[in-house]
Amino acid sequence: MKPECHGDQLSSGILPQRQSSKSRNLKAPKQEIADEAILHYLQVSGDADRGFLLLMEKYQERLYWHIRRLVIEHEDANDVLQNCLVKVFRNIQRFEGKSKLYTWLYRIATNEAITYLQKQKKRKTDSIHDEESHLENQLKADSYFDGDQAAIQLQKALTTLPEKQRLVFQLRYFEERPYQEISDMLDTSVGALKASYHHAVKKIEKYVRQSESFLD
Amino acid sequence: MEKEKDRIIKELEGLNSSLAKWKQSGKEEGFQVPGGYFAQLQKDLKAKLEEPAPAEKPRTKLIPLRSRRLLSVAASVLVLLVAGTFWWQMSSPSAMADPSNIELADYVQANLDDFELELLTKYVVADEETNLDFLPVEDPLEKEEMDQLIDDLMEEMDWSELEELL
Repeated sequence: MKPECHGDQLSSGILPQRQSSKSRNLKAPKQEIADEAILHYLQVSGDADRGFLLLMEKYQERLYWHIRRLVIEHEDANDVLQNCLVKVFRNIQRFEGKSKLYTWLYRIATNEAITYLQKQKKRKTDSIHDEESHLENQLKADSYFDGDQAAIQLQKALTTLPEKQRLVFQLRYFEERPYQEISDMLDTSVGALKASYHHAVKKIEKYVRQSESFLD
Repeated sequence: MEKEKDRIIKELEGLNSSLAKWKQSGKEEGFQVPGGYFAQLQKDLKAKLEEPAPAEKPRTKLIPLRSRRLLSVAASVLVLLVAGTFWWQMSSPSAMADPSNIELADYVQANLDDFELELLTKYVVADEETNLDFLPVEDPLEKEEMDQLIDDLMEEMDWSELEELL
C-alpha cells in the first residue's frame, strides 16, 4: 500500500493522501450514531452488515490509534486491530451492556495490544535488546512515522515508561479521556491513575529536559 | 472533549511541564497511516469474518505450576489434619469411655440392689487400698459422734435383732 501525506500537503492536493493521528480531528464533525443503535443492529434486528458498518465507522480509527500508540508500528497495529475487531464481532452477542460499548471495545483493544507486546518481548528475550530499545528501534524503522525532533523525543521518552504508565499517559494526554473513563476501561481507581499519570509526566520531563530541541 | 483538553493542559501546567506547551501547540504526534487504509480494513475484516470461525480445540485442563504447588501443600495439610484428628480420637478416651466419678456413684446408688454384697465389699476394699477417690466420702465422724450413733442404734434395736446381726 502506497503511503500518502497529510496535513497541509493534504489540502494542497499536490501529494497523495496520507492520514495522521491528528488529521482525523480536522474532519468536519459528523452526527455520531448512538451505541444503542449499533448494538440493536448487531444483536437484535439481524441486520449485522449495517451494524458492522456503523461500528466500524464510529470506532475503527479510534481503536487503530489507541493500538498504534501502544505497538508503534503500523503493520503491528493493523494485525492487532484486526484480531481485536474479529473478537468484537464474534462475541458481540455476549456483550450484555453492563459497561459502555466503547469501554468494552477499548478493553479488548488494550488487552490485545498488551498481549502482542508481551509476546514480542518474550521473543526478544534472547536478543540484547530490552523492550525500551526494541520500541525505539521500531519507531526508527516505521516508515509511517514522520514526526519532528520534538515528536521523536516524546515518543522515545514514552518508550522508557513502564507499560501501565505509558497506557495511562496515552489515554489521558493523547486521547484526552477523563480519569473516570480510564478507570472504567482499566479497572483501576482514579487515584491510582492520577498517580501513574503524574509519574509518567515527571519521567518524560526528565527525559526531554536533556533534549535541547524539544519545543524549540 | 475541548473542555477535557483544557483540563489536561491546566493539570500539566500545575506539574510545570513542557508537555503543556506541546499540547497547547497542537503539534502532530508523527504517526501516519497509509492512504485508504481504513476502507481497505473494512473489506479485509469482512472477508475474515465470513470465513468459518476456527473450531475451538478441546482444552486440556492445565493446572499452572504455581497452583500445583499450592494444591500439593493443601493436600499435605489436609492429610495431616485427618491423620491428626484420627490419632487424637484413638488416643484420648472419649466422654463415653470415661464417666465421671459422680456419674458412677449415681449409677451404683440407683442399682445398688443389683450388686452382690460380696462384689461391693471387694470393690470398697480395693478402693481403700488404692486410695482412689471413687465415691464421694462425707467427713468422717468424730469418735464421740460415732459412740453416740452406736448408742442410739442399740437403743432402737431389739435384743433379737442384735443377736441376728452378731
